[in-house]
Amino acid sequence: MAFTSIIKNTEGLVAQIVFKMISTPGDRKDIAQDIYLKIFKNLDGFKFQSKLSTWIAQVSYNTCLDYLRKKKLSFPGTLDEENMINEPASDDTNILVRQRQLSTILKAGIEKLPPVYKTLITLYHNEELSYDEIVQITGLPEGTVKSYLFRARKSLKNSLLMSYKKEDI
Amino acid sequence: MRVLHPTDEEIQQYVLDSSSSDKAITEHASSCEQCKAKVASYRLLFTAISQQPEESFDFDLAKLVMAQLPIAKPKYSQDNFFIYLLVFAAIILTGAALYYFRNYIASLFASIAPVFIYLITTTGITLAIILSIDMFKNYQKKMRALDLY
Repeated sequence: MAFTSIIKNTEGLVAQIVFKMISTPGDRKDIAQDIYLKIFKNLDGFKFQSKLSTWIAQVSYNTCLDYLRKKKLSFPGTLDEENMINEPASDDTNILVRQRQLSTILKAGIEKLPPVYKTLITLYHNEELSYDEIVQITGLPEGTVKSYLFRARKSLKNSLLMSYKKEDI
Repeated sequence: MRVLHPTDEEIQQYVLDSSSSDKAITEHASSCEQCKAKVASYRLLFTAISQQPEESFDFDLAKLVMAQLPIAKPKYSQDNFFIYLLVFAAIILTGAALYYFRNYIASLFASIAPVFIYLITTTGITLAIILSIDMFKNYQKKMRALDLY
């Protein structure tokens, strides 16, 4: 069936968005199903103005946002500047750090980011989407997308540097 | 050489796409030890992010969703019957009209200068070609939008 094929081919992208936006594992299953039921219901609304995968990602993002709003969870677009790790005194990073350690520290750093920041990082760096596509999915202005990405990367870089510094001590 | 250090934003941009960065930033980033370290940190970060394992659902999403969709009703053959009937009626009526007015049509064409007939035929063919190209382009655009494979 054609719709099964659509699900199979896009669930990877949907999973990336759902996992980054929704922290409760139990709710992810319901939300993922809700996303595809909405897509099926509104398939006539797809006007070929963007790629089908972009449109599906847009529905996924908005469904997750609605869920966060309903649950009154942390507002998805705010990075707590107070808790943002300050720039370390030195940027002298040991580049030859073990890959496994790096991955663990990075994963923890990403988890600390607000949902929208996590999603933007994933869409840009993992899914390799363009700014235009991310703008279509999130509905955020391009300047905001770039600014959020910059702040998220800076925060992640500082998390990594702080972790290395602690290890050195 | 640029004395001021580039901002973090400029360094990020340099690491992402050095070709689009300002020449002064490129030169500074390759000669200043402090900025070299920052560049290295961001390179490391971007590589690590791209190597993060992709998330995936641990359940069969397609199966769960398909079970909730309404069962598609088989298309009632009466709908198709009416369509075929209308097409058949249109062909019969057009054929009958052409047969009934055949002498008039023949005289009509005979009275028109051949150059006009060629002109009308050429215009018709050109329009058909343009419409076909447009339809094909539209089809390709839609297939690109689907982009499933």
